[in-house]
Amino acid sequence: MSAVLDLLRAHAPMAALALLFGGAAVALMTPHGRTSWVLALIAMAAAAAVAADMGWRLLAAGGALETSALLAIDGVAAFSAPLIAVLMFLALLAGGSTLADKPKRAQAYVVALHLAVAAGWVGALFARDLIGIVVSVHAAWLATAALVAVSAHRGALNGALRMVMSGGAGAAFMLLGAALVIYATGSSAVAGAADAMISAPRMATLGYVLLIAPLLLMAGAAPLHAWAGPAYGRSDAGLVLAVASISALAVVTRLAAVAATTTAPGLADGVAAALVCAGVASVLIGSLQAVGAVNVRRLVAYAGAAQAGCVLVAIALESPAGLAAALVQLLAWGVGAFALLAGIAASRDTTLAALDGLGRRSPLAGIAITIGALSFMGAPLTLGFLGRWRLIEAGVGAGWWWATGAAIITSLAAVFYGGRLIERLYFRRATEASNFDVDAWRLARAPVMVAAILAVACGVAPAWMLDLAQRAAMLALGLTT
Amino acid sequence: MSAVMIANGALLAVAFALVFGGAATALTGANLVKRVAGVIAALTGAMLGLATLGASAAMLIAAVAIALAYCALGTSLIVRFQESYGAIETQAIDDGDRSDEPQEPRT
Repeated sequence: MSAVLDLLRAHAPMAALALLFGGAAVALMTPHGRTSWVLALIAMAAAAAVAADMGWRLLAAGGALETSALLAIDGVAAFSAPLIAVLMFLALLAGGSTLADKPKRAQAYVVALHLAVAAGWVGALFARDLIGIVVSVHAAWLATAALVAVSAHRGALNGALRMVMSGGAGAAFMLLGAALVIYATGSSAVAGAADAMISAPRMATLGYVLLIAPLLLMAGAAPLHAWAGPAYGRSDAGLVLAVASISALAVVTRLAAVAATTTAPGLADGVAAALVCAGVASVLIGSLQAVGAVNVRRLVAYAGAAQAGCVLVAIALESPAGLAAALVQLLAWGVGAFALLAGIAASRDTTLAALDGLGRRSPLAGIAITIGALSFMGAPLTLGFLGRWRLIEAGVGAGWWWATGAAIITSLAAVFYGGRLIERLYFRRATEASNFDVDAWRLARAPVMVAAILAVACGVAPAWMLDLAQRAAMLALGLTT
Repeated sequence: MSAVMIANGALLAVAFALVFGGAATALTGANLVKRVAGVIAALTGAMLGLATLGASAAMLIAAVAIALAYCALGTSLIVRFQESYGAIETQAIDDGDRSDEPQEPRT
């Protein structure tokens, strides 16, 4: 037994991927939907444990970076892979109650697709070269689109179509961008651009812009988020929404890791300028749309665009403090979005009126939504506050005073739309629209509370998490080994 | 400038034109079949670009696999749209969605 564990630990990235792909295959072959869901949960839990152990060894215990022919671990992957695996596990657990709504023949496919999404994003984080990133990202994206497409509401098909069309166009840009980067830097390795003597900096910059733009689209960063409205607004509650949200998180994480390697002279400025423009646009447009949203799930999608904008600005700083701020902000975004989306899943309707009086009818759902909204606002004692604080600190440290403006705009807009959510939860009477979904909430309760508790616990005792983020950033930028 | 360089430049220009033209069709086409065709055109352009820039065989194979996957999912979505909406024109689909729920504010 210990030999098996040692083997898993020695090849943690490959082991995590093998568990996810193997789990997907087993889930697909299992005829009974509920059994397939249980097997998938076991595989996902094992993969999350392997990733968490790897992250802990690397970031807390000071272990060495591991590299193989196909896979490599950098600081960003060590920090984010466990987070994404754990959130995917919680999403799968929460989605178990809505699995019965699917046709029996589709249930195993849905579970397998969920694992395929997780494997794709974890693979993208561990990919050593650009080809691996492109293939993994699109495998995950296609699986996410397929999950959206099997939703009960026919409107979700429109979301899936937009995901496939924009993903297909994005794949062409990414492939061309990767080829340009490899041509200009002479290396296909992600870390190759960090210390390369770039013969054609403009070609390399164009390549990185072509590589990064589709990632922004997949992350739901405004104004490239045309898919997000229909996909979030009309998909089934719980499982799909959480998966789409975690996908956005994984994309931005991958982007952070790629951007961290573009430090070569002649390349860094161009990539940083592109990220800043995208970040500021995403903050402004996302905040504006979230304030005006009437569909509560779309509100979370647009709020996510604003959060993504803050992360992009932090990444663009290309400093250890900026990258650490981005990682903290990513964690806050992921946990907050999960708490909000899964909490909202307690209601069958998707309009804001569906939240009226929900805080009294389902106190736990009310608490989760409130904590998610407060974290998005950046309220003290929540993870969101830490993200904003680290972003402002890093921005001021680099002389980017306007970066504080992005953080403040995001928080002010979140006070407006988050306040509206809280007001409806606790200060309005329940209406016909606020139809509490007991079945959906049964299994969602535990994962939602885990996310909500994490959002508050990290806000109250942040030292360990800030230390991990700082070490991850130093590792990603090659400033420590 | 050698003939090979001129040919490579021309091929790269064609590749970019295919990628951008295909992407524009994929995102704005009035018919779902045209949109899927746009995706295929964009990915064909990307493959042409990869070959012109001397990409490895692994990368070309990856591009083909990605193109096939998008083509397969796009085609199956067309079938599902025809079953659910009775149409594959984007205007008819958007009208159907609009009748289902109110629109979000646009920016």
